[in-house]
Amino acid sequence: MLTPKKVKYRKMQKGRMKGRSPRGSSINFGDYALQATQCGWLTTRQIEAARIAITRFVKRTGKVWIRVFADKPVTKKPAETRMGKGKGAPEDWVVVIRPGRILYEMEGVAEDRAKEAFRLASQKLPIATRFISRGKGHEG
Amino acid sequence: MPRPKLLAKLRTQFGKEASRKLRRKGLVPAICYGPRTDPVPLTLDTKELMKTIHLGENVLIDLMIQNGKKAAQKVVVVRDLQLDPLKDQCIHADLFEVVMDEEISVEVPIVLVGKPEGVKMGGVMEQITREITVECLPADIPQNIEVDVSHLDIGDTIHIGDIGLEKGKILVDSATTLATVVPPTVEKVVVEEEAEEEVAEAEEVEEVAEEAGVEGEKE
Repeated sequence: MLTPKKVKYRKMQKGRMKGRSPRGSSINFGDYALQATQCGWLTTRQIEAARIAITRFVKRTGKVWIRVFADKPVTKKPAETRMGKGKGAPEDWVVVIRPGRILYEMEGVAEDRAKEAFRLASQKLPIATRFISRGKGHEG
Repeated sequence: MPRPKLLAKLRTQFGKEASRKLRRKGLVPAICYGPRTDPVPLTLDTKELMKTIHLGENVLIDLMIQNGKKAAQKVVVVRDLQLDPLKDQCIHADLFEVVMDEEISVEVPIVLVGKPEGVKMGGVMEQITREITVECLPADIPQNIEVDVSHLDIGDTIHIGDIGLEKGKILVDSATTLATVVPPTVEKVVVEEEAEEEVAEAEEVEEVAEEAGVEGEKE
């Protein structure tokens, strides 16, 4: 799983998700892409699970780009702990996704295969996504 | 192809609020500028603009600017478009006024033609550069540059220097990679490895159990 090697601050505040993705909302590398239509947090496990779903489906053909990187630490308090006594320990890494963000890109496969691969990948993600292709935009 | 026409009105209100009001009415705030004229803020009809954009990139457009009873005409190209990432609607357009006898630099898309030999053998076609900057007269702007890649084998690469242009000059370094056919990526099959590990562990357990059994019998 992809996580930061070293960070300046171990813990971060939650923050708020507002508005649309200011950047990373256009296809830059491949021909097809999976675009988020909702906001949310994606964890490293979810990103990796979706990537595996894509690569297993397309097998050896095609090239996949992961356009997101989880660099926000999320802390969690142990179970059955009373409130207070400081912030919990870092538990996981997440990336804040806003609507419009491109999550994965793909090239070198037929459109129907890319669509199916991204459908399988989207089932591993906690947010609504859609399939888009270069030049054509989204469908529906 | 005859030049498409686009009607525009002079924009008098500026800023976030005024632009949002325009967008709600189905209009797009735009700006028209050129090498010899001052920038002119405009308002365009979204549907008309999207229709024109879908004709292709770098299409010369006859822009009719209405200012009260006066009207002016300019030949422009769409230089920049800001699109809403979710709705695919235009939220702002930059129109560049061209002078027909003066060369301009434009971004021209590259279209790969043919199925490479390497792809037939299982390789993956990877297009590195999708647009190149070309300097030419406005009338000679190519809609796209077609590049034949059918002869590419696995590991072969095609560069900007390999393509020629009838009219105009390519402003990109000739050593820039256009496209390459890469060997297929082999995904490590983790399941099999895990299965092998499990088998090895099971064998170890059996061996230990056997040894323990033997020792037990001895005792």
